[in-house]
Amino acid sequence: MSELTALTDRLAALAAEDEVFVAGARVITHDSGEVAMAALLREIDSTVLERTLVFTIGDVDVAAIVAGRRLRGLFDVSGNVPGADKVVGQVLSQEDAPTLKATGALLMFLCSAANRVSVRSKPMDSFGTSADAGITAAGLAEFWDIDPDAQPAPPVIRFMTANAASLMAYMYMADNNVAKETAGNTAPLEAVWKDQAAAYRKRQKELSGKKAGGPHLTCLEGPFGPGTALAIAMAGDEVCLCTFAPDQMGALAASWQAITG
Amino acid sequence: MEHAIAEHFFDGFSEHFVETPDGPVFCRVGGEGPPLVLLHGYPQTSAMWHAVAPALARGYRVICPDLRGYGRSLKPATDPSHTPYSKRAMAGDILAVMDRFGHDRFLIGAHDRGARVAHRLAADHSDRVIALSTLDIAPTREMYRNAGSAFAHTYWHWYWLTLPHPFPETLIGADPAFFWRKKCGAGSAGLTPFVQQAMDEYLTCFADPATIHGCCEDYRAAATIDIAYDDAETAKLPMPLLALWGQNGAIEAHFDCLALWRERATDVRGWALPGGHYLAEECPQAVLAAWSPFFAEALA
Repeated sequence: MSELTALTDRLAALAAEDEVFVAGARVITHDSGEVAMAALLREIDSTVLERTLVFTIGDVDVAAIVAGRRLRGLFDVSGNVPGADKVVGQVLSQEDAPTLKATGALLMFLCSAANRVSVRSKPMDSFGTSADAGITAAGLAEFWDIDPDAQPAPPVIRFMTANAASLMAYMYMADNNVAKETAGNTAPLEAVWKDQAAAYRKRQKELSGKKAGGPHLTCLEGPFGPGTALAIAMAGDEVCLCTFAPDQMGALAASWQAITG
Repeated sequence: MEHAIAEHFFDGFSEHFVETPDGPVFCRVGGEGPPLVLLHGYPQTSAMWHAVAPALARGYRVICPDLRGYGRSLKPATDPSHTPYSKRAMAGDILAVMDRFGHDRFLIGAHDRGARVAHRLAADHSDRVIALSTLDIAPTREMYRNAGSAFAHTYWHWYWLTLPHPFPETLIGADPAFFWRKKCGAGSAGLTPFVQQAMDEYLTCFADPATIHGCCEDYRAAATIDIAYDDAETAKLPMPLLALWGQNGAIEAHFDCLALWRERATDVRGWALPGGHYLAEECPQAVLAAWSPFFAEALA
């Protein structure tokens, strides 16, 4: 990323009015895996002054020493994360590939299990020496094999992935209502889709007015009797129709909020 | 009349139909944090929270149901006692929703009819309500008790809607949108508090004869069985209660709101906000400014 692009992106981020803060920390992604890693690298790339960036990845706090758009090393990792003892306090350099690799593995391990990463910026903790330059975000991306421009999957796909264990059956439609993926007993879902989806969308448009077409999740308990609830998740051209146990309704709502909120 | 279009209207909120023994309750759900349920008034829906719910969702899990008889929620058959539309029955729906989402104890913010449901819920299930804030009501029993000519002129609908079915239903049903606009636009702010998306929802739902009937039954129950429940109440509400009302509205004009609430609750505070009846839509920032410290203190 060029200096000018980095500066432009940073100014745009500072001017953004839609940033989300949780417990005082700025949420940088609601994604996991490579997308979360890419978001983390973007924060490093945007940090010019000497700072300790405390990333909250899931429920683990990772304090990273960052300066000059470079990661110098990890100052602290909360809890008992496997492998943390091998990298905390170690200065990162191109000459120490094992530490560099272990640091990437640790962050990827945490990012893979998280569905949100937030960051706090603090004055830099004492770490290494001024000669320890660290590694640029671009260098980290290359060494860790991370696509720095990785984009999140579409919201409906992320919703299905996040709730895979709760879904009893599902139909995923995209590209003008073409069924792309199905699982479980979809016969009741196909009937709903065939007979009621159009009327539902029409009613939704009447009630939602100008906001029709935005991400939307509706859960219905009851249409298939006790023990099975129906959900329809929509975003743009994507639709997921699924069944789930009613006691998972709160979890589905929280998941949808995390993805689209 | 042209209405303003809200830039954001429950963005990120999901919609749910929670099954109860009497039928489905519709609700909007958003945010993470301690649970806060918001209950709407007449003749509206959960859409009335569009200007405060997203802000609250930054710190709370906000649950906005449509009351039974209203919006997209159940409209059960009634009976001569109006029990199916009693505030106790409506409160039961709210408990079913909170049970479904796994919330044992919760905060309540409520307006108008919703605040009367909240009062009954808090009286019947004080162990489940952490704190309660009411918008622009005094307790139902005391309002009827103190009714005089001036009250009756302002609250004519408290009598007219309670006339036997199908008298008010038939007249309202002849032109529901006309009735809605005249009724809700009668205050000092006219119809200006209402954004287009909310109006679309209010008028669409109110065009349903079952909704018109359900709303009338809400008032019939309030004038009969709900009063009996209130008269039977011996204990005061134990949880903190914040009563807010509009300084341009009828509560300010006709009642000593705090004194009346102190007959029903032990820990009462409150004041008038700069608005009329539809406070959450007319002055949402003032509502949020009052609610934020109150709810935070209640949770502390």
